[in-house]
Amino acid sequence: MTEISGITTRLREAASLPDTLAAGFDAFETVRQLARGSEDAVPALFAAFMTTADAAVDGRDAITIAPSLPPDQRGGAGVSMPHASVPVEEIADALAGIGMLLTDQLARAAAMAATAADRAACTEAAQAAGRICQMMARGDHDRRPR
Amino acid sequence: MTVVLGDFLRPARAHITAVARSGGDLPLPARRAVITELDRLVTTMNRYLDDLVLPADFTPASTADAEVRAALDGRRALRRAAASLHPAAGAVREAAADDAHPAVGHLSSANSYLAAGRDLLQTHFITGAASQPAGGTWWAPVITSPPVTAALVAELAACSAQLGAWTAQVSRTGSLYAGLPAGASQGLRAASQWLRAAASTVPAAHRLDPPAAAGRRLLHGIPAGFPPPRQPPGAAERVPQLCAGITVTAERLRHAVRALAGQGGWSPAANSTSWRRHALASAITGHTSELILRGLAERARHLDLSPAIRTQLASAADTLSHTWPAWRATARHWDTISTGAHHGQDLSPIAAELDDLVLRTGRLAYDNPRWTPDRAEASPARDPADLAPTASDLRDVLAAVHHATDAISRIAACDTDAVRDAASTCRLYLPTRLLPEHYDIPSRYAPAPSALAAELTGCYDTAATATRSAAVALDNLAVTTGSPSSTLAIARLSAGSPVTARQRADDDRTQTPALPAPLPGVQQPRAGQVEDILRSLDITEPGMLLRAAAIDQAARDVLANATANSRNRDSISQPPQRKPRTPDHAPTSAAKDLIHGGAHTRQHVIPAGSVRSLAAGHAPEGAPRNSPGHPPVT
Repeated sequence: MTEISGITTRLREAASLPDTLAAGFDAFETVRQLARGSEDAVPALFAAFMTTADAAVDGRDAITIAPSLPPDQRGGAGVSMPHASVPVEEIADALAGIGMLLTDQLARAAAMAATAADRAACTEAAQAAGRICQMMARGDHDRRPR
Repeated sequence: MTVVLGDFLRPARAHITAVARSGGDLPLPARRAVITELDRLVTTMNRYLDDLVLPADFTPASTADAEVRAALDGRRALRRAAASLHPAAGAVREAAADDAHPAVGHLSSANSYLAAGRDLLQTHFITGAASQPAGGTWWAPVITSPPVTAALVAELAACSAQLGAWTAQVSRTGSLYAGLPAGASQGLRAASQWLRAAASTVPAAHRLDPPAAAGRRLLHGIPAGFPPPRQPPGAAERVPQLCAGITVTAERLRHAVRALAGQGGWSPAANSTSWRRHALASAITGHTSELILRGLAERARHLDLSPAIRTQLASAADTLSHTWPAWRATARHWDTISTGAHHGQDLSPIAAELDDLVLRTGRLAYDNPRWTPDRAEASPARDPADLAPTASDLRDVLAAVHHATDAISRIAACDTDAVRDAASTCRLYLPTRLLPEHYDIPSRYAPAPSALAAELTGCYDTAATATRSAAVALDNLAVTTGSPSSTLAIARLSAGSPVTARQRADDDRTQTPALPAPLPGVQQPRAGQVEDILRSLDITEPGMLLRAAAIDQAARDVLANATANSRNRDSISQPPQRKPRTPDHAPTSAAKDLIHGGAHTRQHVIPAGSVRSLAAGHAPEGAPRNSPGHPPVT
């Protein structure tokens, strides 16, 4: 789960709006790829991972048009999938965690954004991150077969 | 609950049956009121058939097809019945009538139900190009299909048979005119005869081509042409409620698909966000639908249903197992491709409806009444015994899956076309941040490479084909099990070859009138000359009289056309001082000439070799003056 820890660190350390947006873009792309890679792991979680990947695309696309997103950085592609021995529950927990962090960071970025377009992009991306967090959160009464 | 045409046809028929059993011995005031109501009822029945656009009489299309023949004959007979009743009703209009008599009430109710049913049918049609009626819903081609047309004609014939027999009793009872004015009594007798003629057309046709019960079921199952109200998923819906909700959502989706397809690429909702959401929901619904079908297959074994059903259930589940991977592949392509920046408000109405479909199919498939795609609500599959306790429940659940799959197959077809259009007009892009470093593109989005666009459209083709195959597999299963959704199967088969179109209800003026409106209480509709000859020979067989009426009508039509052509020609070639032809005289005398074979008719025969002469711009040798190419007579 090095991807998650790496992007989590970047997100936490992002001090400026451009840094937050760039880290956010890569974080959403990481979530998307990890969710896609987990869709077939447990049939009961097929819908959850599919919907999480979709929310990640929404968040990433929202950031793509933010004016303060640095134009000259390429990222996102090439996330290596976790080893097959990593339990899908662990991946889901990690995605829920990054979703929560994204929500917080992007909400904070929206507050510091100087332009309406940046604010709208951050707000929309934060909502998408919130959906990821909700989608991947562990339930209090998890009824799935273990 | 969705209102269907059967909800109107059945009570209408019940009222007609009730009046037919009431006997013909009515007090005079009731008899007057009956004539008035009968006039309205037969007019409404006539309008159903007037809505059909049928081939002209005496053409290969009208003579070779028994169903078309039956529709033409039935329409003609009902027109004559209506035309006989109009003056009869006019003759009793001023006299005291007993509107409270039960027979009058039954006739009035039957008319109201049939009129409402016709209104329901008309909701499926809109005004298309050149003010022609066009199908506005996916049901429209079903309504105009041969089985449904045949079923409608049969339904009206059955009503005509009952009314014809009853009106014969009413007109026979009592004194010569049963206390009615002569015109009213004669009109009632004539209407009775024409109603029985209308009834006789269908059995004759069905001897050649027996109507399928499926056509009748389809006719009765036609819903109104607008979407049913949305039923938001409830907190803890049980299996029957979930199935009903899925059926409603599927119908709403079919309407939404039709509306979106009609808007084409201009709709703000025609964007990658909508298409991605459709693919996501289709994948999840396919996944849960497969799970449901596996449960039903297991349940069918426990219920000891026939091996054919069990085999088909397993086969349908296998077919569905190809749909959701295809949709997932499609959704994955949308991860990187887009049509640009979009926001939530640009989502299609289909996407909103699909949310309901996902929730309900998920709650049907999983053992959690509050199931959502969230991880926290993930649950094991529902126990098959809970899913379908009885064989009847199994059919209902199957119908729900059938409706869901059918709706998604329509979305697939619509989106395939839309995405292909977007690809061909270069509206597909990639975020440049996802491209390798060596691409130096200064904007946020770059055009999607054509190979990637081709992959995407290929994914749609695969998903559409797989979903359609699943829908067809479920069609077969629905027919085998007698599931409520078997109408979908019949509709899919029937909609392929429409032979008729319908005219708009609000455009009655454009319909062929039953006959020229007579003055109230003055005269009966005038029979044509061939019909007159048959009557003078004491021929009363309805089929022969109908045929005679058809010949008379055809002769009138041909001569009216010929006269119009002649008038047009005259208006071009004649100088202003020429005396105009009396408008109504020409067709009348021409009809007489034609039927009696008088010498005057030969004036209009163009001699041999005339075509070449006419083409050369001069009159053929021996041609009468005033024929094409001759200078006008002044």
